[in-house]
Amino acid sequence: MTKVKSILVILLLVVFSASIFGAGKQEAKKEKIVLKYYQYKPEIVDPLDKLVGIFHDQNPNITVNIETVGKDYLTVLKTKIASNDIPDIYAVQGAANMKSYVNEGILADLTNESFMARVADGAKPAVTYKGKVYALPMDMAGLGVIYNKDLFKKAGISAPPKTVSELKDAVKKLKAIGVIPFGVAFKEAWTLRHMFSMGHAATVMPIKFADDMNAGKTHFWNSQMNKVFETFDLIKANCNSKPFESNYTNETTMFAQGKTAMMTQGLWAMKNVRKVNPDINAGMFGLPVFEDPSKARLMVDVDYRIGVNAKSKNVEAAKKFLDFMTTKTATEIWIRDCKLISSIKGTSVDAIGSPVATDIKHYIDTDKTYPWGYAYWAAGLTSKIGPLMQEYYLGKLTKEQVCSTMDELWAKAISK
Amino acid sequence: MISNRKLKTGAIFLSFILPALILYTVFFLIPLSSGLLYSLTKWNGISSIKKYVGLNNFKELLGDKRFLNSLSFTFKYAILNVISINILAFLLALMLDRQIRGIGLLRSIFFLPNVISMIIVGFIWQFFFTNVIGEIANWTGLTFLNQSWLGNPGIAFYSVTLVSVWRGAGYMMIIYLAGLQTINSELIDASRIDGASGWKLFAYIILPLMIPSINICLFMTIANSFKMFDLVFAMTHGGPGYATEVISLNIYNEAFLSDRYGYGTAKAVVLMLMILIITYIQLKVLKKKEVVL
Repeated sequence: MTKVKSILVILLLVVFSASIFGAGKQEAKKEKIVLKYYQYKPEIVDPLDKLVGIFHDQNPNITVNIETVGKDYLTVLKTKIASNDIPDIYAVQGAANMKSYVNEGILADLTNESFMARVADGAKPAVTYKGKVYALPMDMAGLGVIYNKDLFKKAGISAPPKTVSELKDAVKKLKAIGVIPFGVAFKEAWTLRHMFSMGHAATVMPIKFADDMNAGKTHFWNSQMNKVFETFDLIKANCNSKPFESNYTNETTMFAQGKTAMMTQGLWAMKNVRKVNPDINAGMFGLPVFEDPSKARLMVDVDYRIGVNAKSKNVEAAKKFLDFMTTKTATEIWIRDCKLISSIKGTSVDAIGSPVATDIKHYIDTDKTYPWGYAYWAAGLTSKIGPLMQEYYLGKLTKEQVCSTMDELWAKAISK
Repeated sequence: MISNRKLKTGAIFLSFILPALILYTVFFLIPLSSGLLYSLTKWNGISSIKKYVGLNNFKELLGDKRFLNSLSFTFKYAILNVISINILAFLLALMLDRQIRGIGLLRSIFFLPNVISMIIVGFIWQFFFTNVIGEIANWTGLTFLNQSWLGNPGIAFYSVTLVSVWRGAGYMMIIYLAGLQTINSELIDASRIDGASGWKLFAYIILPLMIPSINICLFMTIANSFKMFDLVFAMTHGGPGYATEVISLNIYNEAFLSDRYGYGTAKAVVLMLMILIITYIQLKVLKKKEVVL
């Protein structure tokens, strides 16, 4: 009897293990194409689902599955690449990363695709590498100071500040009416990256700066950084209590509730603000870091760009989806529901229904913009500046040390 | 010549441990060896080119200030954590080692924090420290509660340790309880008759007999403290600045956010060796003190 029992037990073990492997095989037999679309904006998941649904109606044999990871997007993407589970379509975060993907052959060349002709020229530099286009820019995002127009009026501030002195004046007036001038989210390092970049990129030509840094010809510190750090100090000195415990949700909620009058953020933050206070009257102005009002500009660049994995088995189907995203139907939903400015030609911002977007468009139309500094930094640096600024604010580093550390990190990142 | 019967029993034994052996090999031995190989390379995690650089990664980490900072922070945290958890768990076990009604319920309550996943614990406490405790301070007027529990580097260290102890004490309490219950009650009675009581009973009878349990708990808490990641990730993310960056977070940042897989893996190898050496010494020392009845 024990012989039979032992054979039965061994058979059982074999069956158990086989069933684990067998379960996976059934999926591969379907003829339909399934595309994996991996992206990092949780705010636009619902409109994306709508877009994917419409695309599926037009192309019933193609299904697009969206996967969204917010804060740790790059980490999970790297894990996917390392395990050879590369998504067919994915959002490319930053020019340095785009270079790595291109060099590794996982971004398809889109230069001669018909749908690229629909993209505005101003959006193309951000997705160009060595003369070829490798991603589809979906939006033009503005990064600056979002401010509460009603509170500004109440405080007697007639126009958004263009110089550092005007900013200091505005801060004083806001404190006089009992409003916290700046809402911050120092706990989340990426907000400090935005703030630093707003200031630093205004003092250089960001794309040329990146090239010079790669050639070892320049440094982060320059003579204008003293003034820039004056603005940074002003923000810390006039922000909400417990800034290092404040996160993105807290920052946008306080702004929505009218407790704070300004926050250094991007257009996307308005979606969160609207959830709490849909009627808020907000606008955006560029972060003042000079005394010369003519130098006041807004940091505007492509934020969200999606590329196709060149090694995917369904490259043509993926390109079809990108083409769909540039059609009128798609861009209308993009603008109206994602509340982002489209980088496709001939689109307007009215459907966003936000004065912030209108302000951004005004800067774009009057050519008073500059590219996003950090998008062109060497790989890995974007995650370092946030903690360095935290240490600066804690008094552990001087402003020169913040910049010199960034220089060292850049040199290390590009060393072969 | 191995007899047929021995071969058969050997084969049956092998087939029983085979699943576990396979899992162990696939999930532990293979990653370990490939990790050791990666630590000798320079790799950015995306390209398929892994450049062999020998021991350069190890030479570099000796001078890496942030890594050394995270080492010293982790050591400080480990010492405080291990001592606090074990003392608390031991006291709880002593107090709950009785047969009154509802003792099972009491023990479950103290064990409950351990059931929640570490990262959820981190997020809940982070929310509590950031948003709730300030309100409590305002209602009750206990202004000392209104600190920057996670924003002040000095205080954040204690906040993180507090949560870790809250969460980990229950598990060790169970082990100490089991250890207490294996002490033969006749021994206790005999020593009471001999005049031992209170402190003497504890120090000369109970404590020496509990050394195996202490050994296990120390081993586990030391290893866990050095490996701790999710709690700091959820509560402070290593901040503010780099004030609460533990080794595992430093490794994570290096490998995933700085695109340096080879270097990060080298640090992970160093961490593993450290834990190995410390726990080996600990086990050896306490093994000698074990009382065999």
